[in-house]
Amino acid sequence: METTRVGRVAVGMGMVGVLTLACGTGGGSGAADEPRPTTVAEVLAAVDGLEGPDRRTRLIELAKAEDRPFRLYSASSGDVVDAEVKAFGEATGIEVESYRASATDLTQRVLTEHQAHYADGADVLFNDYKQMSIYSGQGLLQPFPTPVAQGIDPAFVRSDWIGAWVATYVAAWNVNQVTDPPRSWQDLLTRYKGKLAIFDVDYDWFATLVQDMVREGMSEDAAANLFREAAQGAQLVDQHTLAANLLAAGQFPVVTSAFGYRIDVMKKNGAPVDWQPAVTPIVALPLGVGISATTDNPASAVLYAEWRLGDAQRTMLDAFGLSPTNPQYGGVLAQYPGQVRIVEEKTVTTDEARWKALYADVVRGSSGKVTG
Amino acid sequence: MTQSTLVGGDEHLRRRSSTARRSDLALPAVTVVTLVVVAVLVLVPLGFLVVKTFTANGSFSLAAFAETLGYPGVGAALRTTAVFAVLSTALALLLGSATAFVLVRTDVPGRRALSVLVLVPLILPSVLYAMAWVFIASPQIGLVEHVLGWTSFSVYSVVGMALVQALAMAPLVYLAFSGTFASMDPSLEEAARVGGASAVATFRRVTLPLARPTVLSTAVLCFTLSVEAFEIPILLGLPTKQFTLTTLIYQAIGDYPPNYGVAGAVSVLLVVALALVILGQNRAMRATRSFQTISAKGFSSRRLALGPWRWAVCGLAWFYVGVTVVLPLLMLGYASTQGFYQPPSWAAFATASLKSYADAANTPSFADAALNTVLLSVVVATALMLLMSVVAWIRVRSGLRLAWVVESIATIPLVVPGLILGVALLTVYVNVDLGLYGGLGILVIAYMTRYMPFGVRYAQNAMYQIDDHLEESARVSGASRWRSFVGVLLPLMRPGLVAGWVFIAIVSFRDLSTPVLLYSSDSKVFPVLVFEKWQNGSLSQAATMGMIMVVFLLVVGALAAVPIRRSGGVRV
Repeated sequence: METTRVGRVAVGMGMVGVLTLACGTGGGSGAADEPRPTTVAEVLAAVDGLEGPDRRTRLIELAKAEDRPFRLYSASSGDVVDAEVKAFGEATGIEVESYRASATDLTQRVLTEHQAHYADGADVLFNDYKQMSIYSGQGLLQPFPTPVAQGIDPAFVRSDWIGAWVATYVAAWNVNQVTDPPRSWQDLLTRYKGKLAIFDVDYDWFATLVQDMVREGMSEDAAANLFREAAQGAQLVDQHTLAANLLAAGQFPVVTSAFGYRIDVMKKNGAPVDWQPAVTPIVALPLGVGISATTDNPASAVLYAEWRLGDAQRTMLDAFGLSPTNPQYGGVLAQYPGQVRIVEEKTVTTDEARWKALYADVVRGSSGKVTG
Repeated sequence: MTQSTLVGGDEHLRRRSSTARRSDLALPAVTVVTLVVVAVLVLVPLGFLVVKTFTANGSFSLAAFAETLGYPGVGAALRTTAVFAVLSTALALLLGSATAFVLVRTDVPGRRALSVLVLVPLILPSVLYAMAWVFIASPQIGLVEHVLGWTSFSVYSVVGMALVQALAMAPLVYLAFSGTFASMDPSLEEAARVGGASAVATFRRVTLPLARPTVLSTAVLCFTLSVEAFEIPILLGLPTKQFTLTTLIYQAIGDYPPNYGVAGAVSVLLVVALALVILGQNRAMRATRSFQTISAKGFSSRRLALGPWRWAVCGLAWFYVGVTVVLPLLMLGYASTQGFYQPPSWAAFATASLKSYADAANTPSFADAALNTVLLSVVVATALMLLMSVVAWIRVRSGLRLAWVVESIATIPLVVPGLILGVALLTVYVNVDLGLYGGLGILVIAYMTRYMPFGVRYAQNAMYQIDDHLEESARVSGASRWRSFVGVLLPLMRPGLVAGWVFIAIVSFRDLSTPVLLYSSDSKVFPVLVFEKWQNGSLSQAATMGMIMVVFLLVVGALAAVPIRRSGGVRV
């Protein structure tokens, strides 16, 4: 009898245990049975109505359920990409595999992989205005209607990519050599004629300023001649970051179109360089983030893009001087309202050949003989 | 002799004969495999180049040539390129051969240390070496101007460009000549000295003619490298608007869609010129016995006694190394301690710190990149020199009528711009899924293709010096062609092959442009980290990476020097 009672208790406990497991499993498998979103649209639908930390938490959940490596292809400089990847990892727990190259090299790789239907390519693309327009035109990106875009300057919002920071071309000078900085472009181009360093490649900066001068009443020829005369005797330079270093070293007193964020970083490190108060208008070119049309990690991609377009903009501003596209975070758009000129899309697309030829003529000379 | 012995003897002869027949097939089989591998490695970028250059909108077109020749300023750029290439080649040959002679053939003191130090410009990426010379010889911020007040020489000139290019190429010439001089029988020079010739006359009339294959082949290499050079002309020529052909047209490659036709047109013209030069070289070396210094007579290597000139030559050698190696390294080392570059001063020294070294070590994937690079360098250098030893045999010994074609094919990658090589490999191997893309495999292919022209030069130089009687003697004694190749030729080629191995291992360690398009997060290599620091705009960080590379490779080189010396490699 005692044995039978023990046996019945044991069986009963066993049944309770089995039922508990079944319920736990059943509860768990109920959650597992919920279909995982496989497209960006489904991800956005899954988090629709959620905001702030709740939205992020849900996105992180969905991202962690994805089992393929998450890949970022970026044209930002190496230190910026490393910092972004680290910060994103700390904020979300999601690991990122990154590939970094110059804007044009990145485009070459992205297009080649796309044409070959390469399965392990980018989930998220980050490049400058011109390259993102190319990706959009080639159908490499997909629509990404995120509420995070609401705070961003509409000039930087497209249906399939959104500007994350603004690279500014600024006139910069060595403060040990220039005690009375230029106040305007005409002042710079006339007073510092023959002492400038001019970039060989910045036809978009040139085009934007000429267009602005034309709007102010100058003819295009007159505007181009202003630059042409200033280029006589100027040093030509190729790389913006190298030129900033040479400016700090005293190789030349003034450079025409350095990257503002690089000058800020160097100044913070004690270099005798500056660009403020700025020579206005300031020419700017957005760098944007877009989600690959063929991504297998839609949740990770949405999470990354929203993170980068959100308060990461302030983090990147503080760390690297990258000017946000959302003015609430500060930067040049907030500091110089109405004085920032964004490079027009047609300047870098349909009108590109014309502006490139004109700029080459202005800075290099067109007679077959070198100038300066 | 018993019947069984006779039977046994016949059996032994039959076995030896069939073994010899199988071995005799080995070399032709290896030859065919080698030709296939070389053809595949080369035809990928060559095919891409030809398609991009000779087609427009899907049909045959010569528009790229018209566009290139019609580029504004192309006439001046061609003249500048010619002056730059000739000057830098002549200087590199002079400096490299003289250095090799002094260090390999004479009893100058300190030659072991010198022979390692002269290779340093090879270790540094040329962009960093050029920057070091800006820090030394810029009329605005250079050390020479700050210390001596001397501004009459500017590094921003064609002469400045040519000098820096020559100094960057001199180690390549040094390695090639050191392999040649190490294999040279000194009794020929001794005979000249005994006959009354001075040291200079002996060098001019005995040593140099014997080194003719090396002179011609390294001249071809240096000239082509100079015509194709980009980093030094863009840094040192662009500021004063001295355009070479490459810097004039480089923007075409940055367009969208990239205008590879223009870059390809330049390469195609170079290919034609190179083929003609190789044919000319072929004719100049018809009488191959006149360079064959490795013969059956054997020799013991004896150094030329400099006598009372010993310490003067030593001083001159250290002065050369001091100016061309130590000074640039010191400038880079100084730059690596500064937050931003400023000309040296007591105030600048007071702010020096080693923070950038700590930052470099903390760079994500630093250790992985270093390991990947070492592995890649060793694999590429070994595989390539073995492959090229077979190519050298085909070219010099096979007797094939079209052997020069093989050499030309192996040399073609020299004139394919680095970017086009990367794009070509990317395009093919991402479409043809052999599991290479995305890993180190694609980098192995890229490096082997890129450095094949150098490997073939080193291997051929070594082969030219070997008396063909040695191989014939082995054959007459019953050795198969394969056995002769492996047992006779390869050991005698060792100094040249080791010199080539060292060169390829070093340059693949520092190559910035080849891996940029092809690496992935799993196959990051050290040059990519250097490139990123450079593009970050931090000169101190880029200089730091350069210093780390130099120290690392010098340590490895010092450790490897003993086995290399024992193997009969580069003589020190």
